[in-house]
Amino acid sequence: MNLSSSAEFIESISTKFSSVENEFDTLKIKVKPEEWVETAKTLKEEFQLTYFSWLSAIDWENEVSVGDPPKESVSPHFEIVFCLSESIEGNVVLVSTEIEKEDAMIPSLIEVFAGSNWHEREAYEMFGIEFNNHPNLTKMYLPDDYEGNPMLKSFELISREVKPWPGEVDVEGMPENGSKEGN
Amino acid sequence: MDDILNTGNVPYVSEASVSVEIETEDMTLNIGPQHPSTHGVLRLVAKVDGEKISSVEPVLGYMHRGYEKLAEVRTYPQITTLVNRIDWVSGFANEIPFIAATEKLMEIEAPERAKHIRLILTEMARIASHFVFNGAYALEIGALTPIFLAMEDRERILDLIESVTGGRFHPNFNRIGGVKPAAGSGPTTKKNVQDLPAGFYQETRDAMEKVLEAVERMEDLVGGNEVFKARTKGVGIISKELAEEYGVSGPILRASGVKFDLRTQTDFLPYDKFEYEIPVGENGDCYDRWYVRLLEMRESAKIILQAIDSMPSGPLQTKVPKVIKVPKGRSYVRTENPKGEMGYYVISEGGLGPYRLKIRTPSFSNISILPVLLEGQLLPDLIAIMGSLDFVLGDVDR
Amino acid sequence: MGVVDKFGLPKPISSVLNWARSYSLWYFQFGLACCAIEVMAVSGPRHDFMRLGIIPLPASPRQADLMVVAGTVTDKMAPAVKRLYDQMPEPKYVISMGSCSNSGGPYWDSYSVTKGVDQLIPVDVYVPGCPPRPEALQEGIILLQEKIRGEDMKEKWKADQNEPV
Repeated sequence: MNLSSSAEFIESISTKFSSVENEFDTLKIKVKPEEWVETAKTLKEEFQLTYFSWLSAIDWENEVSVGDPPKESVSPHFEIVFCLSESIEGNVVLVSTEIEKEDAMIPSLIEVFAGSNWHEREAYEMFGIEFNNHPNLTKMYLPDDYEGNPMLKSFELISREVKPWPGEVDVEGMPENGSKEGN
Repeated sequence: MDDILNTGNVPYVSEASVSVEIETEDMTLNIGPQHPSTHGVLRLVAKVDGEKISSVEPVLGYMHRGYEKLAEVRTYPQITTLVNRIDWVSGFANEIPFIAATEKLMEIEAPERAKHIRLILTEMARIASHFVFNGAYALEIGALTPIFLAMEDRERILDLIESVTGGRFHPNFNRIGGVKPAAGSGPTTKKNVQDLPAGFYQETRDAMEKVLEAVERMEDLVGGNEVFKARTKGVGIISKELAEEYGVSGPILRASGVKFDLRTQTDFLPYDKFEYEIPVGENGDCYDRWYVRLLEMRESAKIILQAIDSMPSGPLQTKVPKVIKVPKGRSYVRTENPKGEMGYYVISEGGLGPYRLKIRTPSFSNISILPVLLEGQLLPDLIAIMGSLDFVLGDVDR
Repeated sequence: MGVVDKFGLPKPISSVLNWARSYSLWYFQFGLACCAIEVMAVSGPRHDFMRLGIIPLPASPRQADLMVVAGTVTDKMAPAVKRLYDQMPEPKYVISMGSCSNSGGPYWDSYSVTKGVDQLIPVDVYVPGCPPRPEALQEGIILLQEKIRGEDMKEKWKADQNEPV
């Protein structure tokens, strides 16, 4: 009974790839952007990780418009992550890479895993990351005339600025307190 | 005029022949976003050549609510409320992986009793979800009766969930480090924490008997129907390789012959204590997908019956700080939602809320197979195939 | 309707007409999100809103009197909501069901959710809750029926000449 990956699997992954982290039962391989497609191919063919789970990105930025900024200062970049697994023992592995924010671009995984199509479209829309060789890199969720990439840390949630969070206002005073003010 | 009247010149109809081939033109058919069979607001733009579908392009986003962004501006306890509403026919099952990922980062564990309650409610959510599927799918195929039977059967499960959590299908019952004191047994004081409502065990036993009966009835009523068989058997076959490449999970993957269930992979809920089978299909067609889900309901009922017999006693909550702050780190937890693999990738920077929350929802990947699957199929099969994927739009669009 | 417009109807006739209208509402299902499942429960055997005179599942909005907006209205969906509402014949009524369609609900600060369906179409009855219980929707329907019974037809038709909000 374990949640993610068997010991032999972790062992074999660690020997094959140089930068492997195992944090909270989550195996993560760090690769360079040039090795992006190559890694996916290797994992699919040599490690039988044939199940494409998801692909997404993380925007690392010190200045954020909403939410908490990272505790320690980071160099601004996009981190792209995809998740592969297999359906016999349940081994799961995350692969991540870092790319520049300027002209964010990465080759598409579509020739290795056809299922990455929609995930890449989503990342393109939410972060503005270009996927090379993607056949149909168009908007997925938002209306066609929508401007901006919502998942960027610099994206502002306008409704929050127009009206403050209702929970911040304390409950109105009890009637007896209110009458004091009236007098 | 004379020529026509002169019968000798008119050729017999049987002798007439058409020398040119009929040219058909592709027609674009727009289905949705407001269509009863699309389970909400999915839109399909289909190009049809006569009765044959030449291509399909799903258009998403009519239910996109921006969960991943909203999670960045909410605290951890607030996010449970949000994630409830992703897959709205099985609200409780959505909370589990998020809570698991958070507890992992905080390095705490819920007490055994809380785990058992979570397991029971997750399985109940699964049964309720599959009831909706069973009723709605038969309705899409053309039978009206099963939906009424299924909705009534589902109400019994919802009554049980409500008696414990206070909510019908958005319970928001999980707390980080345990579950909330149950709703059905009076007010909770500091000394006297209320647990499951009185009579819960017996009521559950009765309800599960009813579920088993209902499964049998569905098997006869729907599965034994010749029309249903003709519309679903051999239709919309998904091969194992195709399913894996597109990340299709859950009952659909199992119907294609892959015996893989994340319930066997979890250390978070005590599934290893109970005996149950994982139903697997052979052909990967619509009928198998329907049948696998039906059998899963039976197995879930069995798990619940075992779980209430072996319910441990003890507290419902471990000690957690008053203000929940999660230490820096990342964890990815996936569990078996009624629709398939649901995973949360939590990236914490030590704040009150996550820095980034990636939500992997099953339906999104499950319907990404639609363009491949529907190509070359007949138009009447479109609804049968789409219905058999059992997706929920909140789960697709987030 | 020119006559009704100008002179109105005698009270006995209009109250009979209103009474009849209130109990034969053809209901156009506009299931968007979670609340749609509750609507399914209301139309199911336990709650059964047909006994209130609600007739579900007309073939198109052009045959419907009542639209229940059940669920989150997103900015992408908003034009469709408006168009379907415009396709309904007068007199028409709208029930906004659930927090999302009332005000945006849990997604009040989202970038893609319309904060309340009343920005698009006029709403007659708001049903609060997330999601409202089936009983709550039933009460909403009863409140709407009361509203219809108290309607002055002259006013109703006059009001319709104005542009909707």
